[in-house]
Amino acid sequence: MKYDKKIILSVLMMVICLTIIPGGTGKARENQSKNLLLNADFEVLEEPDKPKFWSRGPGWSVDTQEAYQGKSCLRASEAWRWLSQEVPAKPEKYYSFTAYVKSDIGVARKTDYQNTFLWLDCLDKEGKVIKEDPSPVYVASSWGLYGRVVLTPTKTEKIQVKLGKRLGEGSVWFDGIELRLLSNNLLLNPDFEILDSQGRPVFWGAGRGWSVDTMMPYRGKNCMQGTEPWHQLWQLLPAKAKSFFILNAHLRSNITAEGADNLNAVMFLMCLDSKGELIKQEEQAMVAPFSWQEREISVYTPDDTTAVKIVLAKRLGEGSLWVDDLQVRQLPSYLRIRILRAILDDKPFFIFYFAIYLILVISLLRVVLKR
Amino acid sequence: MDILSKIIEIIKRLVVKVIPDSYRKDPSIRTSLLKWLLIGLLIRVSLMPIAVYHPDLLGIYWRSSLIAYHGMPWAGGGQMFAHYFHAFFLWIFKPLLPYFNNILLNPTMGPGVTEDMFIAFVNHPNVFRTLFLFKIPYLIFDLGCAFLLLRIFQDHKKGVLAFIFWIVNPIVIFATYIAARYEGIPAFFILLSLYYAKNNSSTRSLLSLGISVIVRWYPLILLPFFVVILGKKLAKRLKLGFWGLLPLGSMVILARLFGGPHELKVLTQIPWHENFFGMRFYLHHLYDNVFVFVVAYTFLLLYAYFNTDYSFTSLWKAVLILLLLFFATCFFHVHYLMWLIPLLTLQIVEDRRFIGLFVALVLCFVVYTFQWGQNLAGFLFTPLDFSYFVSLRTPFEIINQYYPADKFIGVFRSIFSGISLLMVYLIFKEFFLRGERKNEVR
Repeated sequence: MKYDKKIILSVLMMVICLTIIPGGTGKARENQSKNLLLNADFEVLEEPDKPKFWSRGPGWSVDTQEAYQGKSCLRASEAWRWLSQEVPAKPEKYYSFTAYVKSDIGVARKTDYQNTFLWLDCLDKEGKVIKEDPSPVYVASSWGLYGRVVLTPTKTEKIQVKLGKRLGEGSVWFDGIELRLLSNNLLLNPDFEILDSQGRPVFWGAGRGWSVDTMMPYRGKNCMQGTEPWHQLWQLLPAKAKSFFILNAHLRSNITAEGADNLNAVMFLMCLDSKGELIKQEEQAMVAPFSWQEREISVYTPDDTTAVKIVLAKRLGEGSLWVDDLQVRQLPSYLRIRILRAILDDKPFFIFYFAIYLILVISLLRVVLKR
Repeated sequence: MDILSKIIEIIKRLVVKVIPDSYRKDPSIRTSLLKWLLIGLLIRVSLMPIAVYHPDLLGIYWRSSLIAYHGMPWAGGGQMFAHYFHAFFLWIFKPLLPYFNNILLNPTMGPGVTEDMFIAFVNHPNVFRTLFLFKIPYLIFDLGCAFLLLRIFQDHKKGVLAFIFWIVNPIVIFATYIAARYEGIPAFFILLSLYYAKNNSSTRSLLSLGISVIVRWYPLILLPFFVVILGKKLAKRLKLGFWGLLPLGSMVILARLFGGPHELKVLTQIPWHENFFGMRFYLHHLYDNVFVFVVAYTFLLLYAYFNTDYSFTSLWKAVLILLLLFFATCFFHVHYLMWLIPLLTLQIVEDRRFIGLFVALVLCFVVYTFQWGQNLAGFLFTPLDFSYFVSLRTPFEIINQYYPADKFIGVFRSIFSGISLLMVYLIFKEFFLRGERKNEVR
């Protein structure tokens, strides 16, 4: 009787668990981690032109007229003079590094026109630089969000953020600097909510035919609409070899099926080496339906991989493809085994399932051994 | 704890209902039943969340979701009862499937399941939960069949053997949990019909058979045998015919009310009845064809009509012979083989020689399934790892490297037919020709 009660109680608990925690939906895709940089808006000053927690070289001044957010921003008028801050960091982790920047430097777009540094150094325990990432950028005359995703090497203990003017006549203004640890989603601006002055989503590369659409987005206010076949919407992520990446994207289209090949959308995960050459590619062509539907593609990076390019494209047919709410995660290699991934994605069901299984096995053993 | 005690009481009452008294009172039989039930459940629970057969399982659930989740009535597409049955379970499962439109949706809202839908389904994070839930209704009827067999047999040894044969039957498990078709539902109603026939309740028997007809069409070919063998006089036979056709008639009326075409019209349009006419002799003049299955059917029905002793045994043996003839002479989809199992169970309990024959039949059947290529090979287990299982070579391709695969499959198909015909011969010889009643089901 006691045994029966225990079994029934366990099954009841599991059924309740399965019922009240449906799982698999409504996953948060935003990066919720806090900004690791202190006084990121330069609102707190130690002394005139010296924001608290930041080290600065000559040529830096606080500007209260041009701030992007809050009351003040920082202006660099001399090239190769740094405004820097060191923060503790973890090895082999992804960080997003973004800043609002503007400049009045007019440089002709020739070979060397990047007027600004958004520099990151990864430091080891002794404070020695183990990875230098200058990433010069060309900054336009109106405030814009610039940045990238970085992958820290092994032995990283700290990250040093270095901001500076690079070349040209004029100044560069900085505000709202952010360095955040990424875990849930490695993509920047995954739902196309942040647009540049020309109305294009920042951090994304887009070929002909791609534009922001505000009609029926999956999440937020914007989604991307592609009208031209095979033209790409893409973002690049740093990556190392033998890593497992998984891309989830929401897609819809108004393209009607034509003929035997009705696959109207395609997603790629391209592994690139240090020279930017393609060394492996996972491709999945699919039918994007009329209403939003989530699709998934994954890749395991080969040796020599230094970056993964996430690409979406309309494939064929008359009409448009819409994409929204993308997510890229780096998962442990063992999660290449699909069932293990499914277990993590739908824990309530698998708790229920394995409990049922266990009850059956124990009951069977009990019957057999009793005999 | 009071509530728990009540639940235990309810479960106990349920056990009392499904397992006859005589079986429960004997501890060794009770233990044996429990052991085999647990083994059967373990096999079933293992397969439920991982196997998917494209496009049948997704097709029926997709169309049923039009009823359950999209408020669209289903009429005129055939198998109306089956669709509403699945829709009912989808309605119950609704809180557990909040992602349904993400995992199974035809963008055109048409009744078909496209390959892209299949790919999206098997790659969805909740595919295992969904498959598990999809197969729960089949599990209920499958277990129902196993317990019903206990009620059909009063002899405990025979009852337990029938129970074991059903609960670990590879064809039952394959058809219900791998090919994932709802063959267990008509099988349950056919067994119920046999149960009533055995207990001289012929009206209920025909009504149960009628219900199985509206779930799946094939029991319709069994109906004349039930009418002829269970009814001694014309009036009785007409009455039985009425009860047998009543559920189908109701479906016809309901389909008309829903505005769909005639269910009977749909019956003539569905392609499987063409299977009856596959093996034929053309007599080389005009349209002069002789269909082998139709000849055999006519012969058997008339033989039953003229020689029946109106017994329960005559009934199930005649129906078993009919189905064996069907599988020997007609093309059949893999899950159809489960139609045979309820009746073959009765025969195997009577005559152990049939166990060996059944094993040989299953081995040939495995080769027979190779002609479905990937759909019955790697595709079945794509939820586990789509890329890997899609990339697997099919047995057809592997065999084809060494020997023409079509011929290889044909040889095993022929052996399958030979075994089926031997079974027909043995049953016919033992029961009908000798007229002996040694192996009555008691």
